[in-house]
Amino acid sequence: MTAHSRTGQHIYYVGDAFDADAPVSTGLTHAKLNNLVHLHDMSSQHRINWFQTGDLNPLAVNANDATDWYFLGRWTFPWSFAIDGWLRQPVLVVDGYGNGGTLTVRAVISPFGEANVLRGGVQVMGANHDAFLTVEDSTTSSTSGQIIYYPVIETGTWQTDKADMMQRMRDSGMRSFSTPNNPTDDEPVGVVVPTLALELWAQYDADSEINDASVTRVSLREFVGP
Amino acid sequence: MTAFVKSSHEVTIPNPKETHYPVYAGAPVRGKDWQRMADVANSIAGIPVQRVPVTYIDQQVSAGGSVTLEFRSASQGTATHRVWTVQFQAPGAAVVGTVQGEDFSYNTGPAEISVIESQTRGSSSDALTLTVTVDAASPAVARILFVSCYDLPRGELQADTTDYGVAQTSCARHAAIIDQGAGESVRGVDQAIAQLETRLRRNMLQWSTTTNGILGLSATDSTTFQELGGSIVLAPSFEAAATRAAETWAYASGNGEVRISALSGDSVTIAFASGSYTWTQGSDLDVAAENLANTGGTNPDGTQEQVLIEYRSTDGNTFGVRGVSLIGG
Repeated sequence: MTAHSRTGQHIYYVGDAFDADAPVSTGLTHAKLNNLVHLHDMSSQHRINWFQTGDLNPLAVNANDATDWYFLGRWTFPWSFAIDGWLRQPVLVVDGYGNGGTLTVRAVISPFGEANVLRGGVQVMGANHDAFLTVEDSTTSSTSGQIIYYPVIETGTWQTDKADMMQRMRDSGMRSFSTPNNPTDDEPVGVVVPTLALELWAQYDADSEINDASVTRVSLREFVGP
Repeated sequence: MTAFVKSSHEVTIPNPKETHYPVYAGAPVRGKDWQRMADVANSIAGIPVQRVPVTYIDQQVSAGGSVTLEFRSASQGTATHRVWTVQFQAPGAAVVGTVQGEDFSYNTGPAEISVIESQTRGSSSDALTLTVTVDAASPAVARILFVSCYDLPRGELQADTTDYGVAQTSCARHAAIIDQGAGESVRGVDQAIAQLETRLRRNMLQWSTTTNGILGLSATDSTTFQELGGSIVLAPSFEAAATRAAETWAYASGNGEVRISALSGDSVTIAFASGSYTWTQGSDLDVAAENLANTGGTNPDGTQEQVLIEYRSTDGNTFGVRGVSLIGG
């Protein structure tokens, strides 16, 4: 495959009006250009993929907590930008299990998480625990079956709030994802990693016979959006 | 810590906020400026991969003790460092120890400890080992709740056949279209895309436990499959494929099998016949690709792809499982 025209009589330059009939072949086809966008889609990552193992029931909600919001857990993780520069949309999937009653799960996704400075010039910006995005869903379990629901974070909500989030990042002096650091010999080359935190809370509206309910799976991933 | 010296051949990764050029099938590929394409390729190559999505561990480390967790995951081939994050439960007393050899201490919790570790730029599915130790003098037991690991992004790439960064200026207007191999001109973009197609992976599921948490079958257990658990995964969408092949791995010891079944239909069984724990790769598992046309990427029927993980002894003797991995392609 010839990638240039040096063997010919004319050197072509970027911007020249050559076309498919010209004696220049770069190997870069239309299909490959399309692949470049697909590849960017593929770079969206799974951030949380936790599932209950065996009889372990770590995210259980005791029926005694029926009327309170019960804190299940909090996890921080990095987050990617989409090709347009905005943060990618999250998709959260939570499964629950119980023997009667209603299990309600509240998910809160907030920017940055704990103030966390990693060595090597990679900084996660300081504590900001404002509720950023909250989804809430509930379902009633059967007596013996597993309940599954998908509190997918809607595009509209995310888009409304993400502008605010981006502004916070700028106000905080956070450098663009693309801005390179100035590495020294003992620092890794890296860039700022925007970090989000997910909190899960649950409320179990059980009947008096009391059986605990639990969250059995939590999956969070980035999505490029429809 | 690996030193990284900046050279004159490094390529700065630009802001990924790019404008797409319209590309029409059948029309000649033409552009006044190819720099943006180089920018996008560089951005993708620098994006970090989540090596281990946040996974539940729930194992404790006694004072003076040490535990290891085994994972299998892929990198995109350009990251030079990765970050381990370990979440500990509140101990009620001071805990001092190391994570990957780096000191940590805390006395309130839950506490998240992050350490950076250098790595080779492998693009295959690497075996990763996380080691957590607690000092003998610590008055409290450390309980590991969650573990995750992600690659650090690259702010600068080498314009060579390792990183396949593309020099932006070589694609700028009036730059000569030349064939100098990787890192330059439109040909460099072409080569970068070819590499990214091979390297870019999505680590979908990584489960691990310590030697204290082995999910094992004793000699008195039956040889029927036992459910280890299951999780929700989705394959990357690529070229509108309905399914994508995912690598399957398991870390087990004894004579037995680990079976991974996708809700969409495919199933893979990994056989073991070793007296020591080893990573064994099974056949690829076809998992449903997410549908970019639907909110949330659900399948056409509105469901999310799931996998079920099971294991069994094949001779009635002890068979233990310490790790399972699913790596999307």
